[in-house]
Amino acid sequence: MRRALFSVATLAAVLLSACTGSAATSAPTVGPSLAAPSAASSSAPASAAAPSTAPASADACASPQTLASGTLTIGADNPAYPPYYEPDASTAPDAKWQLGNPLNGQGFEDSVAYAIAKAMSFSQDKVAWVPVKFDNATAPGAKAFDVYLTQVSYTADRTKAVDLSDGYFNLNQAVVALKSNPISKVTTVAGLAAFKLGAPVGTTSYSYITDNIQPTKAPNAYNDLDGAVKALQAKQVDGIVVDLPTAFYMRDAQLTGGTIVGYLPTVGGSPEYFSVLLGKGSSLTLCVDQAIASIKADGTLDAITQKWIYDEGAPALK
Amino acid sequence: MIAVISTAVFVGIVGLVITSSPSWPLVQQDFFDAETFWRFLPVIARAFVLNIVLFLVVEVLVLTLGLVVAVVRNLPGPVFFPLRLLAVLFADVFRGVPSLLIIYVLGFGIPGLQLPGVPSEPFFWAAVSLTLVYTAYVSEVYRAGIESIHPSQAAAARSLGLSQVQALRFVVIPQAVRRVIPPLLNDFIGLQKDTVLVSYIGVVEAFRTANIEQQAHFNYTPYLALSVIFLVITLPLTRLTDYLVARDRRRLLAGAR
Repeated sequence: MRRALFSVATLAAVLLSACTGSAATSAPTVGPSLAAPSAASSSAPASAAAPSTAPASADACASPQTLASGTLTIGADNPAYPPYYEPDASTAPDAKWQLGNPLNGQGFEDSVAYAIAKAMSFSQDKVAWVPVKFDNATAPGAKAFDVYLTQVSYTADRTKAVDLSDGYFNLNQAVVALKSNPISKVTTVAGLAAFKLGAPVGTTSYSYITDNIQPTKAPNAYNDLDGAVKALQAKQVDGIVVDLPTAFYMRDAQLTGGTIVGYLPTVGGSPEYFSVLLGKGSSLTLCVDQAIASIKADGTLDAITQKWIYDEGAPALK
Repeated sequence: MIAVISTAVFVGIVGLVITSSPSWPLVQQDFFDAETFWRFLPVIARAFVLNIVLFLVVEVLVLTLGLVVAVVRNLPGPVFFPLRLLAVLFADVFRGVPSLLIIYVLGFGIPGLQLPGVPSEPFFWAAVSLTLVYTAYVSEVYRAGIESIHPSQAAAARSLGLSQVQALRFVVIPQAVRRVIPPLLNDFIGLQKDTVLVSYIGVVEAFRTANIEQQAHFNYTPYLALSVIFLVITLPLTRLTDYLVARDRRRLLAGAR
């Protein structure tokens, strides 16, 4: 008995001594700050430039070197999903494109892609589309496209393998619920506090609940998105907080009778954002950044975001 | 004395080998960060209250229901065959399926049916799942205890005029239960640890709290804090089990060596 107690004491001593004397951990570094789509970028060219004229502030971008000369080849994942790439309303899906058809110019990223192309002086008929799997696009190596737009989040890790442009869309947090739940009538962040909320762990969504919504009922946490969806269906929670693109996916693909209550305001720090992906060291990266700055400055990006994201059933929560 | 010295030397060598490894500073910062440890220990300890409540509720239910299942399984005669079969099936299924799967199926599945009057609280279904799983284990422990009592005991009780039920209640079960206390405690240590599984259906208890802090700070020290809390709770029970086994052995031997 005494020997056993001794061994326990030794174990505890080892654990505690291992803990002492280590340096204080510094806060995890955050990604570079970015210009939000709604904010005017400081690197934007003079806003006097009309949308139709190219912002040729750098010589290289006046006649950009593309894969196929004179044509901008844009890559997207296949199937490409709405609201990023909308399917054709009447005709059957193109044999090449299973769901969303990038050629029709309808959808959020589809519109952003054409707007960027236009800012780089490629007219609509000088744009070619190529389907590329997301994993292939983000992997190192030669690319079959000039630029790639399929909800690629900026991470410092990815920039080791590919080039990523400035952001064209901030991933705000959003609340998903069932239409039948009273939470779906809420229009303010403060109004959410009275409801039972849930979120997947390992995301900023959970800390958004505890830090910013501060609900009166303890929020639930889930290992993965599907757990959160199951809990919503089982009415164990009134609403779940996820980033906005995920919210669209949940509402349209995972839930029946689901709705997006609204998207939440960004609080502190820089949120994740979507970037245009290019091959590592591409000569076009600077030009794409300029193009994005230009469509931010002239309001084109705001109009596209309003039309394809916020008007698609994702109102702002005040 | 020799034991103390040899232990100290052993711990010293192991400690030296670990801390002299080139990546030790990194490991120390990720797993043994003092500041993180003391910052999150109280937070996790507060969340641990939920684990303790769950454990206590389930333990009481398991002790009762486990005995019922064990007795049903030992009922004599062909009349009780369906009940016996049910008890066997129950024990087989709930011992054979991983606890986590049962928690998932009951925790998300039954509330998903939206039956009127049936609670949907994940905590409730977590308690039901753990009760079912551990009742199955404990019923087998009880059964082993009951079967270890020699049939002559029951026969003697019957010959003294006790009914079948009385013989079971006053002669067989008291002896059986005393015999199985150590393995019962063993199962309860397992139950204490399994309370963290309820985090999988959304309950934010001690493990999930540690998990959230780990994800937020990219540091595993909160898990170390939780492990220490678990040791503080389970070690006394482990020692008690050892003590009871030793005492039982002394009694059985009754001084003989």
